[in-house]
Formats: sequence, C-alpha cells, structure tokens
Amino acid sequence: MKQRTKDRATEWLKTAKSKDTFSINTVPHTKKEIEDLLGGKPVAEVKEQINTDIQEESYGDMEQEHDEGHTEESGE
Amino acid sequence: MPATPINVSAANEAVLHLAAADAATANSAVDALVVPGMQDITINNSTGVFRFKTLDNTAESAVTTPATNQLSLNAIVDSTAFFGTAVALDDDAKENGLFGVSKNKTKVFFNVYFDGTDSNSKFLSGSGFVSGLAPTVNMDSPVWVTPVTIEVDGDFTQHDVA
Repeated sequence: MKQRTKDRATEWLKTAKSKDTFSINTVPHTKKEIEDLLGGKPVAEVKEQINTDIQEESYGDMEQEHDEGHTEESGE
Repeated sequence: MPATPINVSAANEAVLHLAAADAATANSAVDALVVPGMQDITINNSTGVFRFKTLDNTAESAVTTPATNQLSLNAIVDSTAFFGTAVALDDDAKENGLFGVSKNKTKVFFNVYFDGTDSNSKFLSGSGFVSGLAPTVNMDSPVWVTPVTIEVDGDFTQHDVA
C-alpha cells in the first residue's frame, strides 16, 4: 500500500463510522478491513530473520579489510 | 492563502480509466481499462468566443460559446492496453484495447483522476472517442510511444471517489 494511501486511510479512520467504507484504488473496504490493513507490525520480525541469515565469517573478513585499508591511509 | 498543489510524484496519482459499457464501469479499476505508462496528460476545456462591436463602445464585447473538450496524453505502448485482452467477458475497452476502440469508433466513458483513486480523490468524467493514435519508435528511442486523444462528446463533470 502506498504511503499516501496509508495517510489518507489513517485520517479517514479518525471520523469513520462502522458502516462507512474507504476505497483503495476504487475498491471499497469496510472500517474493519482498513483497520486490519493498517494494524500489522511485521517490521520487527523481518529484522530478526535477516540477522539469522548473516554469517559471522563474512563480517570478520569485511572488518579486517576495512582495518587494513584504514592503517595504510593513516600511514600516509 | 497559500496554494495547495496536487502532487503526483507518489506515482499512480494521475490515472485514466476507460470503459465502453457505462460510466459506472469506468469507476472500477478492476473492470475499466486503466491506461498504463502515461507520460503526460492534458485536459482541454476550451470555450469558443463570439466577439461583437457596438456603435456606443470603443472596444469589442465578448461572450463565450460552447467548449471544445478534449483529453490528450502520451503513453508507452503497452501490448495489452493497446491491443486488448481479447477476453470476451471484459469490458469492450479492455477487450479491444486503445487501438480497437479507435478503429471500431467505440464510444468510451472516461475518468481522469487528479490525485489517486482512493476515497475523496478528485476526478473528471465524461465520454468521447479515442483518436490520434500514432505509435512511433526509432533506434535512439527504442520504446514504442503513442499520443492518444479523446475527443470528448459533451461536458466534463467533476466527482470525488466514494
């Protein structure tokens, strides 16, 4: 859902009655449906999943390369 | 009072729906032909002018005459939107595409959305005929692009999305 649509729907919810509908891309949705669409908080769960996929070895290599480069630069 | 611009930079804010069946079909993004890949769109509401001179006046008087209404746009040629879905159950505009409704001289109902298709968004509606297709391509611009004109039959009417 576009951020602009979220903003509009959030604003609409402030005054919406239970029988009112809000259209997204011309398709009407009930107040309950809009609340469900706006209500989820999946962001924290997604972050945890990303972290479990990262291998520690990769981080170690990157850090080492960075440190070496930094040493050369400071030597100049 | 500061101006309140209608900003379309969020994408899919300036939208054109076409339908052959009726105005209600044009209201539905699912049923209508939603013209994809629009690069620009212009709404022309140009009234004529009748001017007359009188012996007691040093300047011309003027009144306006009925307007010539027209929509013009440029769009990337999308294969489905241009040639149609060929699905008999679809609205004729969707089934036959822009080329089909132009060739067949099918009257189309249109909605031009100014700031998206969500509730309370403004749009102009009307009906007319698709004209002015001129798809072009060359090796420096290797994507088919076509102008589209809708010669409006009658007036524009203003609405808000329900």
